[in-house]
Amino acid sequence: MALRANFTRDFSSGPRIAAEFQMELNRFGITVLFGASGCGKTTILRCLAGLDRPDMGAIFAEDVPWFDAASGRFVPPHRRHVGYVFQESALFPHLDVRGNIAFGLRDWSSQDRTHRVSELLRLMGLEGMERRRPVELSGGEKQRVAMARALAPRPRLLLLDEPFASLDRPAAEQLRHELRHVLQAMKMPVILVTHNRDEALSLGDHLLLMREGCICQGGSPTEVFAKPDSREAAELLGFGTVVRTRIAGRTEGLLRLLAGEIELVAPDPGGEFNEAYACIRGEGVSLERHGSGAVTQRNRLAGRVTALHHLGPLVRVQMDCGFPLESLITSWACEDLALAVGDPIHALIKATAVIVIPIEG
Amino acid sequence: MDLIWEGIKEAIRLLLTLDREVLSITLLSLALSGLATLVSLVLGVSTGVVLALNRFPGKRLVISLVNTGMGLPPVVVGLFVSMLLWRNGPLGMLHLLYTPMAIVIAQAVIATPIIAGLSLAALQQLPSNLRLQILTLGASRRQMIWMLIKEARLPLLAAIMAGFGGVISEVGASIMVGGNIKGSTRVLTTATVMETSKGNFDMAIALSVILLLLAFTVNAALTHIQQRRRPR
Repeated sequence: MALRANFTRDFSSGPRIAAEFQMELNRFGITVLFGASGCGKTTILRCLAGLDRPDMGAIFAEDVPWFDAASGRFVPPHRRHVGYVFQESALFPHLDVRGNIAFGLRDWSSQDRTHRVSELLRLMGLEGMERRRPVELSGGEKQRVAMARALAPRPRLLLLDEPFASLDRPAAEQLRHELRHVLQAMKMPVILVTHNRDEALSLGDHLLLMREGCICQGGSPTEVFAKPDSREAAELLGFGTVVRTRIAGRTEGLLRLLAGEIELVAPDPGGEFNEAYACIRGEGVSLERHGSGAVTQRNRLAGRVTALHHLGPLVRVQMDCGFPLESLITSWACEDLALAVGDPIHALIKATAVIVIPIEG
Repeated sequence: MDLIWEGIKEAIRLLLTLDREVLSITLLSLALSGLATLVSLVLGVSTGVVLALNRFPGKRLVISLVNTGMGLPPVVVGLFVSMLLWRNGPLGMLHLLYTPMAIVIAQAVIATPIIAGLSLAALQQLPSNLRLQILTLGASRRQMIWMLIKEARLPLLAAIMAGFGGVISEVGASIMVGGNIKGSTRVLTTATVMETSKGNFDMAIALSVILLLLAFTVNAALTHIQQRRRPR
């Protein structure tokens, strides 16, 4: 059974949101919709759940139309059997944990309901909290209850809208880890919306990259993260350096690129092109104080530090090496090298750390 | 000064002996304003739900009108309801003018916008995700609305209090459409006006005290419910 979506939603103020993808419905798998805030990820989820109505196109669950602009069909949310967890959990304040989880089970017999609620309390690690009210729960516990509540009626599809965004990092990691096991055990197909790279990489089985209302690339997360196919995708995926280059030569699977006057060596993706974007992750750029000579890195660029951003254990170093280059190093390394703005520096980049995105025509 | 003192003493006597006329006026007031509040509750909450949950052109205008209506002067309502109910008015064939029902109608017109405006506010202050969340948990639209009303029940109680307080204490509309007919449309406020103008201060004071007590009791009861069930 497959969910096939191909629709657009227009807003009078803002971009057109367009979605075209399909996914399996009767087996476990987490499809991640990844993109910056405000790019339309939530709109797509809402259209799938029936909380919003697309303007054109169709959504089919196998051969049942949930929405079809041509025939005007629209299945209301309560007949789609889709679970939905919001970023800020909207628990019912007047119901306790048990009551919240049981909310979607109104039509079940009281025996089945009690059984199912206990099962979810156990699965989501909420045992002993049955009688608590939402105000007595921590942020992480609230999200657990929200997930248990969404999963209780055995939905066909679970939609998660940035469910970890309001949690602190350890709580988010813990819940992420547990959730994956629970969902796998339930054979639950899931669509997860996030703008967090760690989340996309650690949870996703399939990644859909979204930009300005459109899905611009899809594939397995490791594949997409390793090989973005557009400049926009590369920027979205956290390549700190994206620079336009000309092809100066190709030999034996290697490319010689010119970023202005600066030469870069990179693997050749093949194909006909004269210009390309060179994309480099900050993690792939090593720094050296004094040029010591023989190293394996093919790219050795002289430059100057222009800015230092401290990010907890890491430091993002911005440099001018003839083009703006970014490096991500540990704060210890930064201290050892006693880096300061304005210092001369050598940047070392392995050829394989440079991803080439051809510019057509 | 003596006049006032005598008036207060007589008022206490009337209250303590449960004077028959005072009692019947009180019960009538309670019945008419209670019924009017009930009607307003149905109309007002429905209006609040429609305004809170739907988008339509002119919604802001309607909300402005409702909010203006929360401060409708009772005499103006009295005038327009009278005109509707006059023998040769549009609803004249119902022969309702100067009947208790006319008072209920006028008071309902006064209380409906108050309850509508306050229930709209009550529903709008619920988290916006709550409505969507209820829908995704398999609730039909009707079940969703019922759930929202339950979530907003405490501010809705305040709306009922405001509506009831508004109509039990108004005099302008009741006297215009009811006519202050003894045994039929004489309510606490209209009787107070009449007794005062006749110089029967004892009776007027007694009626005023009852009016205050009544308003206090009803509000105290509702406040008790509201405060008892307020989550922390």
